Amino acid sequence: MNDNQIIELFWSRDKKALEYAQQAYHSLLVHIAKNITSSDEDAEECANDTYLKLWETIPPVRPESLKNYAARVVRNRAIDVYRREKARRKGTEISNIYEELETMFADGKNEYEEIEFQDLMNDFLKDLEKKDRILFVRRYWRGDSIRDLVQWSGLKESAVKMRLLRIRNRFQDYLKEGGIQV
Amino acid sequence: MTGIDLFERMDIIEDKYIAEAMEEVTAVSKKKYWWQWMAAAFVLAFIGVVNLCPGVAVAMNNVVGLKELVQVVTFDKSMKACLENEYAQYIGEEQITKDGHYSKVYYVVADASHISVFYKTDVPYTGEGIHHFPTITNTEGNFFYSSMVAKETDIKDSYEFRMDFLDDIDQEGLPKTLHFDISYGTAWENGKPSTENGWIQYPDAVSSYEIQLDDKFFVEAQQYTIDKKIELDGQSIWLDELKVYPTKTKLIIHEDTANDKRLCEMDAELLDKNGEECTRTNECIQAICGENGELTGYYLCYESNFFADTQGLQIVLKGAEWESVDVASAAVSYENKSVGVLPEKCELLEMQMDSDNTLLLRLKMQSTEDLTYSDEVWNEETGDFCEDTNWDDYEEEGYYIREYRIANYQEGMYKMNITKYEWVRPENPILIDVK
Repeated sequence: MNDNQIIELFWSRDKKALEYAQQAYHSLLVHIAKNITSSDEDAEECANDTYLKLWETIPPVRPESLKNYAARVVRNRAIDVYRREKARRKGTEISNIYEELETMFADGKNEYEEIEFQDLMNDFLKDLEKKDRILFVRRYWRGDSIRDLVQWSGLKESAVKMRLLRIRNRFQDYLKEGGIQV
Repeated sequence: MTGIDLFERMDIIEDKYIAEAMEEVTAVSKKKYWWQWMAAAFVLAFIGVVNLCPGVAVAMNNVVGLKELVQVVTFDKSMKACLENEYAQYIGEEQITKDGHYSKVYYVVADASHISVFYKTDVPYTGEGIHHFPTITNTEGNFFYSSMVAKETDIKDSYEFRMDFLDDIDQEGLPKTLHFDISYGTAWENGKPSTENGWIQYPDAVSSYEIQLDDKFFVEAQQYTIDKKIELDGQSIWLDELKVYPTKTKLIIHEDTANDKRLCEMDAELLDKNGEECTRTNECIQAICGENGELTGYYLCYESNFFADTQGLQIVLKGAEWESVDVASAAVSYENKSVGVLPEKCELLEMQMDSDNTLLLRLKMQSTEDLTYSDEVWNEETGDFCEDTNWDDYEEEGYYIREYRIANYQEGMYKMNITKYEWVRPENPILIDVK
């Protein structure tokens, strides 16, 4: 069953939609959530919360991609859980990602218009080579570990880390050119 | 703003980039440990090429608009050759949606590794306001490719929608029908999401095309036997054959069974008859597996446009990278302040215990272009690998710093492996003539 068919089940309030969504995306949702929460239990909780959210919001929403929509929902949910459980999360991979992002915005001001930043981010991504763009999105949106990225890319670990560092540096330069203070 | 706030803010990344990152499947061929090969799911790499309807091929001079499209649109060399040699299937269908959006599908190009659909529509692919979103599914309504991307061509309002397969397909694997849909919707308006959830809303109108792929003219890849053994520093590689398709060429190799190191990568150039180097398209050697998932060889892939003329091809072998275990199962010992004997230019920088019984381990590991060491620390009882939590890369100085934090450390429970990755290059490049 494809995305569009599952969405139609949501729209017709057929509870089989939840079953099919779970079959299709449970492992992905748990993976994303675990990247952020570092806990199997919390990741499962986030995934289950996501199905409820899908049921509550479709309709009226008709997402272009159910997969993307569910991924965003679980990501947001996992971030909430992380905030709640922050004290327990020291030394985890996700905390490394937060540190990396903080170095991209070193002085911490981050004062910019939301739409301006959004345009700059997406324009920046558009100009990146595809592999670099996927590395960036997987690391800083999906929360993939370096090991995950090594496995996906076939690059050595040091090469992945260097690529990410260079992309972050490029992004800083890109923001500066766009007049955004970093 | 904290890191988590910034991470949360990354949700402004557009849907298409999220989809791209999630659709892209693993392309890696090399693994750090032999046993990981058995856990991977590989598809048997049949190699075949479909020549789409040479009898009904692009008649450039007779198709209104197509000649212009072909002349102006930017392709890579291999795609240009594809058109010149009539491997493109002309479609020529157009539609208008209920709300008046126009689209036309010009042609389709397919080979064992990918399918491209060239089309035109009057609605942009990105940006604020209304835009279009293309998808392709097979007759079961499923996506069957590993990655997809739409990109603008040099002609206004014209696009290429390209799908790449994870592994080569043969004639039977090529779908008979492609369902190509162009949907229209809005994502952002006046700087805000068009819905409260920030998602694209679709009008009812969608342009749907059913593209029938004609496979009656099936063209096998041209195969040239090489069967040459190359020895480098006591290890051997067999160059088996070259397989040439309309748009690319694969060099098929395998390792000698007597090797005691594992092949990670090769530096091998492919030159055409004019001595021009063909662009390598895979970043590392990719595995070929048998029916039971066993590794049977690797391939290197190059962009090529000499399907119709394969005289004078030459391979220039400049080196190979080998993986070997340098240190196996050395005990990590806080009592002895030791991680076993380290290779040259690697050293244990620090070993300290925190008040909460977390062991901090810091290592300096050599990492140069031709020689890199990689480390792994794991709990011997549970088999869990310890995550490294920090690093600093000093590429120019030729090393990196690795840091582990092992919570609830217990003496005698942890081991370390060190793996060596070393390039071996012959004094002079080895030249191999294919034909």
